[in-house]
Amino acid sequence: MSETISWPLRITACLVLFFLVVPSFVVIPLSFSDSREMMFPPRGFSLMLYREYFAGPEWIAATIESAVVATGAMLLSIVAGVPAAYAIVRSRFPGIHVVRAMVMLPMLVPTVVSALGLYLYFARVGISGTTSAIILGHAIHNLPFVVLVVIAGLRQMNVNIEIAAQVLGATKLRTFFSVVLPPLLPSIVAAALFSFLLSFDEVVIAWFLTSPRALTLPIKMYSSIQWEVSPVLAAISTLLTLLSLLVCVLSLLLRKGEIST
Amino acid sequence: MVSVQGATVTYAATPALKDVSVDIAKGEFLTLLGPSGSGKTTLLNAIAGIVPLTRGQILIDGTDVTHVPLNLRGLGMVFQNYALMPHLTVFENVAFPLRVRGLASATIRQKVSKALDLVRLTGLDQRRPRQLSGGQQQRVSLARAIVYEPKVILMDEPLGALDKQLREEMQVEIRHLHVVLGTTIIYVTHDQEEALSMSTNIALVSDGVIHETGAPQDIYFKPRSRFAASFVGTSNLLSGTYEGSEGKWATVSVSGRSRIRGVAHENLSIGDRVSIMFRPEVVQITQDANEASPDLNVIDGDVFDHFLQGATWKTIVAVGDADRVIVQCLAQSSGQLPRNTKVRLAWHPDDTHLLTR
Repeated sequence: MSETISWPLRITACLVLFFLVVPSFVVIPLSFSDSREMMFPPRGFSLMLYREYFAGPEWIAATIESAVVATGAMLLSIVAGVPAAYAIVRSRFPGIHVVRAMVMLPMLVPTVVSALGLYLYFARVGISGTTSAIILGHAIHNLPFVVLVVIAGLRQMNVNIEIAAQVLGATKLRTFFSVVLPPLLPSIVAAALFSFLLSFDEVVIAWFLTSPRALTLPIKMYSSIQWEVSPVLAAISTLLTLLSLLVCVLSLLLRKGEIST
Repeated sequence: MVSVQGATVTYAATPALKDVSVDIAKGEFLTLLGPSGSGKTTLLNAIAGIVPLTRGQILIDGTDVTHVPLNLRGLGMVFQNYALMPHLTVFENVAFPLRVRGLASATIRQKVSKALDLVRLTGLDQRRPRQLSGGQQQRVSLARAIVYEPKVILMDEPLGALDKQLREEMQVEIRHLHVVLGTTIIYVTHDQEEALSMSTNIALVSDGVIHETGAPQDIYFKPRSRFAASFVGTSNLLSGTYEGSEGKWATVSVSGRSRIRGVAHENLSIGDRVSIMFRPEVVQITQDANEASPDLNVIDGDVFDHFLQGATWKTIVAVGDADRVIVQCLAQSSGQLPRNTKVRLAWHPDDTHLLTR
């Protein structure tokens, strides 16, 4: 099929690809600039901006906050998402479609809408502006993605193996933990990494639920750009890109391992 | 050992199993034989507890297990696609039922190695299932089903995915296991040869009911229903009218011309419509009109086709207007028979069975 792609299509594809990666090509060179101003193309080369980031206690605090939020959201979405995916794939009862739609809803509802809903709800409950609130918000936001990845993994597994385990004497719980989970692990880890990443640079929900007590990295970046255009953002963006790349490569490797088994 | 009473399974208003009752004795090798979609696997899954009964009862060893969950029924099971756990070694796969029963690891080691020896997989215990051939995987699955010494082992087309040669090899092996262990086995297949060669008893399943149960030789040589006669082996079936009895035999007039004697298995009244059934291999074929002994059933016909099939000649003979009779005899005992040759078919009344259903 690859041989029959026409030249106009190839050129269009290349243009789209270029458009997608061009921000990175602007930001990455900028991060190595030795100037205090945002200027492109950058002049000189230094690691000054990286030093500034690692030396700034506010930046480090925001990074830690983001890591805590992302880890929390990841754990919650996995703990809720893996059993949910299993139930969606394996169980048959009237209304399963409704349950599936409910789980997928956060993906379909505009993020602003769910962010506003969460803001109003959490204000009512009295946890607005706390780290827990952002973790909860992100966990809900990430759930459909986790469920989708795990469903894809489950679909490749043979249901007869689970039935066999039960006929041989295992309880449903034991079957889940010793027959379903181990071969599903690559999918679960991929989903977890994905969930971590989604949460780490999520802005909209975090923006609604944030407070000076709980400031995530993307929020801190966004607010800093409003007051002063600091080139340190370029360094942070580059680091974030690196993190994304790492996660993508990791999950790709996991997928590869899964296919070969 | 296993008793199924009035088992009915209904999927979305379509009955897959209709009021089936069957008793399986201790040590029996019962094969549920039937075409695909006949309900044989549903019956097996109902016994295993995988499929819940809509109505009816299942007893194992005298205990009602109808509502006992599948993991507490204590059965062994072998699946067509092996259903081995891909992430576990052969050893751990076979050890699985022992681990869930909480046995000590020394006992587990001993029992697993004994089971692996029995299925001739000694030394492969550290392999993963995907490193094994299909036949080896099915041996692992067998070992896993026998390792905790269940009283009953269920097998769902265990050889269906294997090629012919391997299948025949495994048939011998499963028979051997049955003899050695003395376990009750309930086996599902659509392969009649497999059923005939392996079982102590065969239950013929079709359209969600058991048509007939019997020993392989009875099912083959003395079928009680047209379904049994046509599904197991090749049969000649001619329809006729019951005329009365003659000595130990019943007589039937076929198409108003020939009088055929045969064995009746139930009480008939004169004028009843019956089918007479006889196997292709019991018929002698001659070109000499006077040769047949008066003790035999005789029908005259014209050769329609005549060809070699393996070690036997197969002759298709047209008798009457629409009926065809298949004759099979050893290859060296017959020469060429051109089409439309007049022949006489003769066979013994003892090999003739009257069927009413």
